[in-house]
Amino acid sequence: MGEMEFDAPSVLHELANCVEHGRRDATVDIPRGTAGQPGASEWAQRGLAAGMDPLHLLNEGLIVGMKRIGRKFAANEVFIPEVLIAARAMQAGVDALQPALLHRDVPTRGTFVIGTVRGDLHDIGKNIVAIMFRGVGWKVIDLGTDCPPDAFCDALESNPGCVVGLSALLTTTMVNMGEAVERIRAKSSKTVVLVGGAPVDAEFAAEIGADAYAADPHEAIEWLSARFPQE
Amino acid sequence: MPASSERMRWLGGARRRWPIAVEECCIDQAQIARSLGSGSPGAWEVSPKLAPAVLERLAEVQELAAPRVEFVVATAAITNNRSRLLLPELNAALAVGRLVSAQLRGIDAVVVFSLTIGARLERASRKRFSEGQLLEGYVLDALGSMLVESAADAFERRLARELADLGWRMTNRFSPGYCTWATSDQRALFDVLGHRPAGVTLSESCLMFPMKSISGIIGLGEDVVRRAYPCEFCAMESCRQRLVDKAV
Repeated sequence: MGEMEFDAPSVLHELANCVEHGRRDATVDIPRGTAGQPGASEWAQRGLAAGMDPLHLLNEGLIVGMKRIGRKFAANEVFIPEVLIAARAMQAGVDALQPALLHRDVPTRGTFVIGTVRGDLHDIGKNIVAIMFRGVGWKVIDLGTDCPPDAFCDALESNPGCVVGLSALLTTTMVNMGEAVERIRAKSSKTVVLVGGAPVDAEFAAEIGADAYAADPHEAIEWLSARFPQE
Repeated sequence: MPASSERMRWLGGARRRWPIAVEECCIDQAQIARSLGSGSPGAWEVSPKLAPAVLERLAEVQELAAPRVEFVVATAAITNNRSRLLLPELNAALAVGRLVSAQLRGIDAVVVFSLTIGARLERASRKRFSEGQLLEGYVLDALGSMLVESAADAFERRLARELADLGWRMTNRFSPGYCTWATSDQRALFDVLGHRPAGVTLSESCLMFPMKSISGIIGLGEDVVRRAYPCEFCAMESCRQRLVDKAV
């Protein structure tokens, strides 16, 4: 710790605020009129310089900010661009922590394999879900778009115990979710499968044997947190 | 020339191609606020932290877009059970469903169209995403969606000008996938239009390429009424459009 009195809770508070409001670093003017003031990057560096545990800065600072923006998004208080601006600030904070995290075993909440199902090339919604999951501490394997069932099965093999998320935007492609769920179940009956996308709902999720439908990333994260509480 | 003879010149299903000037495809602030904004009911606005990213991308979107449309005009009628739109000259039928049929009441003919702004913009958006520039990629994609709608508005304006002397009025435009018209009926619609209309192709799952494309129909008739989209009948509760409209 430096010579000056250092207030760890306030560093965590600032980190969370910077992420929530998208304040990446001192070069950006977000919120307006704050250019030159520290952002997520600088607060992370300050925390490290003061001897704070990088994992603590990550979990109790940056991730807290990401959870807040996720809740606001679910409540329609903010829209996707604000989530992306927050994710950019989160990344700046993580980058600043990276040298200190390099030789540490960083625990994750779990592995989340996500992909848009066969026949569908829409990826924006899937990307947003992936960003939010990464932001709150999950390891994310993004399989991309137009994923055949085999792609999910292969990912299961290399990531045992992972949770799978299936995305579709068209009524003509959501039917391919059923085939994917069936193949995933045949490969590993206990794998948790979540589905989402504009035409999908809870009834359809139950019909194809998925474990849950999530209307937005926050709902998916909350559902998984309830099912797999953090130790 | 009497209107009826002039109408004959348009009918028959011959495919026409119109370029659309990108300058005619305006994206205004209200549209941006509706698509990208946040806030409270009745006060959708683009956050000041997002505004610079939008402004930077606007010029890029105009440069990347190449709007064009191909369409046919054909005599049309709604079936008695109000579920199908018949195009007898083309020996074709579209299963538009009751909601769209109700909007087409009184039509004599229909414009079937395929319109796109090309693939360059979506490629640029994907590239941004793959390079980790998530916000830039997202804004490009959203502006592209606004631009293709704006191009369809420009197409409608030109149609209205060209058809004004024929005594025909126009309905709103309708597309498969909306108002309970099944997305899978894209196949029938593309059959009407022929091979790669406006350069747009259809995948097995009825996804259009380029993705920033609109296909659909516009009803024509002397007494037709242009009505707003009937959101209240749509099952998509979480639709952003519904959320925004509820607030207005």
